[in-house]
Amino acid sequence: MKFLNRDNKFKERTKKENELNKKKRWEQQEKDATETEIEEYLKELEEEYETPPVVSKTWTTPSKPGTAKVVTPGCSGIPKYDNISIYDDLSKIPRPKTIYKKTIYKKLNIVFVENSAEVYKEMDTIRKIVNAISTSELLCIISYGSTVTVGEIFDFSASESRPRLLLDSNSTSACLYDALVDMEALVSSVYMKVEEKEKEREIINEIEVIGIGTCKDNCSEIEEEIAINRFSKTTSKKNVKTKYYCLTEDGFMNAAKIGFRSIGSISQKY
Amino acid sequence: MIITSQGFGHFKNGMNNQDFGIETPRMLLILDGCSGCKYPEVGTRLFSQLFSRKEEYDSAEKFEDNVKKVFDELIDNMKSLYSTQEELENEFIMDNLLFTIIGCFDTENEYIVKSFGDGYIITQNNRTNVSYLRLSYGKYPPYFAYKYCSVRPGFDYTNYQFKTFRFDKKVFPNVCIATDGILPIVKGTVDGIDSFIVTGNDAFVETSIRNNIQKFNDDVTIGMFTNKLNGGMIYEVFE
Repeated sequence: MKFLNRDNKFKERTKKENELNKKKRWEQQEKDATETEIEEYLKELEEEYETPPVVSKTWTTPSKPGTAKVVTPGCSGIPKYDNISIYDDLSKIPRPKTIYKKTIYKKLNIVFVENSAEVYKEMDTIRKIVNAISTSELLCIISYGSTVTVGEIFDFSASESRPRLLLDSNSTSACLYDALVDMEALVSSVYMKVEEKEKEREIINEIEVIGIGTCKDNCSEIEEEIAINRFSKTTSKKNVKTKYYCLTEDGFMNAAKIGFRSIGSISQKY
Repeated sequence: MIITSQGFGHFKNGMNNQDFGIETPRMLLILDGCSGCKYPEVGTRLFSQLFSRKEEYDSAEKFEDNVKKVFDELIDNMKSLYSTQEELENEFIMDNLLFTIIGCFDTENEYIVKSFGDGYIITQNNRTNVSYLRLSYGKYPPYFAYKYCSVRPGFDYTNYQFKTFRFDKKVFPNVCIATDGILPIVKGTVDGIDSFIVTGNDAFVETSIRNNIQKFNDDVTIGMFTNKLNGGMIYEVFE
């Protein structure tokens, strides 16, 4: 603490010294400009203007409206004059309006669901998971079957109803790795990006990925290693959480290999 | 290394730490006592002592047989002290021997995890992503001791076996096990602990748990292999 106090005192001293130095410089400049030069200059100004000019170092507000020219000492000792606007009423001074937008931080929930017949059987459980998401947060549904469908980011504040989740009861294909790459692209495009609105700006500073399915792949075009590398970019971001609900414990290995942080099973049968 | 800590909820209610564990260079075994029964801490400690006296008790191949032998011998020896089977089940088995069993074995090419009941398996993949695999079976999880409860209806676990998970070391360089008390860690409320767990940094893990003890309502036990460096290189040096 002693050292901190010494630093603070040193800073105060240097501030005072700087101010004193400035004053000395002003005074020196005035001295440098000779008296005769100032008198001659003032005479010229008197001939030009009816009212005598004001010589000062600071801005003042004279009672007369209109404009006036004020003589101030210049840096090199030669006096100069500047134009100022004079107002009787300070409240009439036009001041620029700055609008400060409120920043709102939001959480995005990405429901990453496999569109297959096996998952269709657990529709009730999936609905519970989706309905548990708070209405103050954002929701996006990515479903993957034979193709990947990335839904729009849904804001509950703009609409009372929830987005529909449609699954195919006959599908057997699952392009998991393609979906992982698309999911990473979505997260990168949205995470910590500012969205300007009329009166506020929104930033998504937290993302939770909730995966549901068998965690298997049978028709992806992208290779497994590439997809896992891209997924690890997602998990490396702070405040991005990942979960996967496997239908059974058979999917645990794949989910752990990909790197989902929290892995559980929907079925609780031993 | 086995790190175990009494849950804050148990501390407030005056309950003992019902978890226990034993370790060898190639095996971790952790037991989580059932909070609903009277003396699970007695059962976990008694079982561990008797189990560690078995021949090759840290062998993955003999693990299930050794567990069964310990239970068989223990219950056989206690039968003479109780007049009826019902008494034995209600007053000895149900009060002392209800605990989950999770074992993790470090072999040359893989980690083998054998579990009977709830718990967590913690893995780290090649991209250093840490995963928490939750083994959960509802409000009434299975216990090995239920196999010896023939009189009680609805408790027919005779056909239940150990679950086996095999993790290839090339894909999962680090694997640990834990009881279900680590839920606060899984939820992410304890910052920075993930990497310490999978790399076996027991001092930091213990400190992190102690500093956040109020978040852990249930007893927490984590088993980590600490006699290794970077996925087993230390074995190569000594071999």
